[in-house]
Amino acid sequence: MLHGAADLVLLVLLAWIIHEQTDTHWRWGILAGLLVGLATALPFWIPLIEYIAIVGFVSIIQARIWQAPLLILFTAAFTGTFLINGLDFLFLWITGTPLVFEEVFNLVLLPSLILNVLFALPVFGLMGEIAKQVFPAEVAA
Amino acid sequence: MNVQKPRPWQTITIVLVVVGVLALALGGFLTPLTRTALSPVFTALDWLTTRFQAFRDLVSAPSDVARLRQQNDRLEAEVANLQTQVINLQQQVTEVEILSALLDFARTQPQNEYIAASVIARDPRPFMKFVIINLGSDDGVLRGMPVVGAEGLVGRVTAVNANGARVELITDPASDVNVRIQPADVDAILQGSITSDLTLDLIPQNANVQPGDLILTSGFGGNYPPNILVGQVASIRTQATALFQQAAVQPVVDFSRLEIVLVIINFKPVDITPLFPEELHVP
Repeated sequence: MLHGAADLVLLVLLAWIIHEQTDTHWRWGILAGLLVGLATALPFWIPLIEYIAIVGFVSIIQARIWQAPLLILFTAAFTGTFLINGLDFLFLWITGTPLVFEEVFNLVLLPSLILNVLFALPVFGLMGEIAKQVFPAEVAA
Repeated sequence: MNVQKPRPWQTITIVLVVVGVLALALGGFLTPLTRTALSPVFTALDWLTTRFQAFRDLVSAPSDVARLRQQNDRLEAEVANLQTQVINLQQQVTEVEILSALLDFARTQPQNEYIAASVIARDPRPFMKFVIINLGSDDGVLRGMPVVGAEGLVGRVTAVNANGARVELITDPASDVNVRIQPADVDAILQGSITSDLTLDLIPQNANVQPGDLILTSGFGGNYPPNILVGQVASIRTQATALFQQAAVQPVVDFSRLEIVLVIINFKPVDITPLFPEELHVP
């Protein structure tokens, strides 16, 4: 898909925190940010800020449309992709990397967006199964 | 005592009959006759044999099934083991081929000292063209050391810790490499991009650069040693109003399949930035 890439860390994080059973969202956001920060050549605080911001965004929209997790998922995947790639681009542009906005938008951002939206649903299903295993439903006595 | 006299004619007749029958049999004249006569016997024998084998199978089936299952399990385990061995051997063959190619490369540049490193990770962000190798400062790898593959230039080390190092590929958008185009003998700047395409910039307008020309590091700027192959000119972009020509470059290294690389450990990069006024950007 051109030069975009699906951000599986973002998708797993979103799918995990959107499930009702899970808590400790901020901790997962920090962990995801640190993990990606270790692997990427960008300064570690950039992914950290990005993933924490995404968790914050999900918390905000979850408080308003809590009954439509899929809507939250797709909104967050869409916004998260823009946020992550946008901040990366902004940092590189400020630090002098010669990037052309049209190229970034057409060749990286849009393909990444499509991939993230495509993979969001399967990842959400998978994480739902894991959430069920980790947090089994309580049986009424 | 009554002694019976021999009957020569009788004996001769019997012998002749026997010889005649034998001759007919050997000549194949009795075959239809014997086939017709023995056919019921063979049919009966066949019927009996079939029933006997079926009965024997019925009696010995449980032990046979258990034995076959055991054998099947053993063979399946053996097949799995052999498949693992085949995969391991294929990986080793690939590794040996890569190392052999790297050795060939090292022999062509005997002035350099190399250590081989495995590529263990790629940067997850689409903007960043970096890889991580499994050697760090404990192995003598330092920041700024050039990294090459079997075919040519890969990039340079930009960050090091004790057991690993981050390598910026020449395809990274922030990468600039001073190169020389041969045989035109013209210097230019090789730039990466987010699409991993390489572009040659700052080629003088009067330079006669042709597709297929080789691109080697020039050594200018102090970041890379000279004469390391980078790629070939794929196409030229010339504009009459522009100050310089540009060219698209086909790299010799396949960056999507980097597995093992060589770090040139006896090269000390020179930081020439302090030699220039602050407002000038020197690649």
